[in-house]
Amino acid sequence: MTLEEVILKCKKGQRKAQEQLYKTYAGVLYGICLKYSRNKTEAEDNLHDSFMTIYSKIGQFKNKGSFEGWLKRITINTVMQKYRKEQYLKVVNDGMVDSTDEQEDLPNISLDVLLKYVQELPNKYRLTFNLYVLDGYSHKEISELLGTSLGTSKSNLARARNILKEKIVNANLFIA
Amino acid sequence: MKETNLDKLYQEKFDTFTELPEPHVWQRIEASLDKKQKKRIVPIWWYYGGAAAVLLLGLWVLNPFKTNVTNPIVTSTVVDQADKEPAVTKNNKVPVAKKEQSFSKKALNPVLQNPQLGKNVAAQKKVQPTAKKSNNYLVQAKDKATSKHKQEGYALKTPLPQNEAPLAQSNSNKGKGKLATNTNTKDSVQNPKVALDKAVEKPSIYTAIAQQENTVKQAETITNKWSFGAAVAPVYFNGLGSDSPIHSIFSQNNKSGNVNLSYGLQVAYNVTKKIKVRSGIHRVNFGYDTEQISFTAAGINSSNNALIDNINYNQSARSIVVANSPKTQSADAALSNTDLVADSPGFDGNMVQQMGYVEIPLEVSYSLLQKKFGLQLIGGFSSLLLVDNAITLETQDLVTEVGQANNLNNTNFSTNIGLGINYKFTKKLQLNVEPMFKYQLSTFSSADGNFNPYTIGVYSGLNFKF
Repeated sequence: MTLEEVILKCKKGQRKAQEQLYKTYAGVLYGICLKYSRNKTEAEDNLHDSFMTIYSKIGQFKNKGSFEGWLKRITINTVMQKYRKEQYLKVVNDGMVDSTDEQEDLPNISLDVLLKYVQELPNKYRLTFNLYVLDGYSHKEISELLGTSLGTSKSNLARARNILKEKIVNANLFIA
Repeated sequence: MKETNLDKLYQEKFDTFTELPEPHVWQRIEASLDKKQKKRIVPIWWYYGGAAAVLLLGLWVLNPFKTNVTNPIVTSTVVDQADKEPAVTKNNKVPVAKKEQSFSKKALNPVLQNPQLGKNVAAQKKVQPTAKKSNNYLVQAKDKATSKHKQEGYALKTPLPQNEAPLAQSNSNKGKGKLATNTNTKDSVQNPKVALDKAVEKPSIYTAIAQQENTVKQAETITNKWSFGAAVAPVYFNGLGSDSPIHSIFSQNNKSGNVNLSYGLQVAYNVTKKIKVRSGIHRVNFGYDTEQISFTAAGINSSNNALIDNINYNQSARSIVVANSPKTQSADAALSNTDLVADSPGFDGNMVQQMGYVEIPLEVSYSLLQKKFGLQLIGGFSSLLLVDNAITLETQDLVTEVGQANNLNNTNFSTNIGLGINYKFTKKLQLNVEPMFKYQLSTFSSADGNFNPYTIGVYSGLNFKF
């Protein structure tokens, strides 16, 4: 089936097409869920919810613009729903780490570890970091999505970066 | 490490980050899709089943027309014959004028022996007796005629009066159809009395026709007492009284009613010509929105969630906090709700309460007008059985299921009143359009304050008489 056929048949609710859609895009959408969620279990829940939304809203896709982009937006919106509000006041170490001016080599840390660090971030920081750094949203868009002010969005990003930096530096020191 | 380096590190690693989920994830999705499909199939099946049942019943009603059809056909033949060939019928009556009652009785007999003339015979048979001005005989002849045709019998068993012998000849001539009439024409020309008789008989043809139609109509109304049909209706639901059945804090919010579709089957019985008793079974959903709601996902560990008593929350929805959006709160209340952590992130939207019922009405209708277009007054009551119950939160893009209301009665009643307008396509098939107002009596087991639901629906459908 071509992509157009898959989309058309999904609009009609045909299971074969729905399965084909899942097989094609589950990988990239699960990746998104993993980096936005706190752990694997929640990522799976979010992926399930995202696909249910996709199947029910596919009738609204007008065949204009990138289909993958549309899928990603739905997925991101689904996880946003879950994590928008901080669940409890977490004591966060916001200490600034000295940033050097040197051009450093990028530390050699595995993706899994980096993913773990992101997942450990408090909800808002994690969402902001992902949206801004990895998915290219602007602070204006982020502030609207999260219901915060522009300034808050920027400070959330800064704090997220600090936490990650600290973890990476500490890991590097440990390794080194 | 510079910020840009950090960003770069993450960007490079996650640029093409894909990971395949475990197989059980797809199985969960499939199970959810199956569940959703089942929910949709039942109402569709109900509607198709109803439509199919109506069609089948229609076919059943229309097919055995062979035994019943002689009635209406006979009538139209009478009319046709009378309208088109007044001369002929008049002429046929000539011997009648001469030999009055005896002749008419006789005419029924031999003429009937020729089956091909069934229709013509009927015309003559029916017209002639009425010309007799003998009402008793008229009724008898008609009854015999109608029953005769049902059995497709031809011979009339009435004993012939004695004076008919000389006329037998001319009658048998009649049996030859057109030839017969021509013969009679000759007779009429020869008979000077005919002219006078014609004049006398002219008005009676039309009275005859009118009386024929009445008979047939009577016969039909007597036999077609039952009717059966399908009906669909857009139904608007709302409540009298300002409070909210979900929680008293929402009593100040605007509430707007929703329009849903009701579909089902009706059956009715004509107790008298004007009064019908009817019942049926319908599937109907009601819904209304409570506006200016804001909701957020509170943390799972938060013990401060104000769960609404009247809702049974879904497992996944327990973390949702529903509140009024700041606009509806008084200034003081708004200030005291200042939350340090949140910059009030929340979705603004509507809370939608949906209730699905199976409705079994029992109503009486009284006909004010009964022509091609009919008008009736309808009143009665319905029993409503709760089959569906959901509360959801909706914004422009999102729909979140919260749970079910636990203050809805499983059995509800409504009093109904309305007007019926119908249009008869044929004698057996009619179209109904019935605006109805239904006031519900026991929707909620415990509602805060007073919220008295009512519905307004325009029920339209097709009915078959049998």
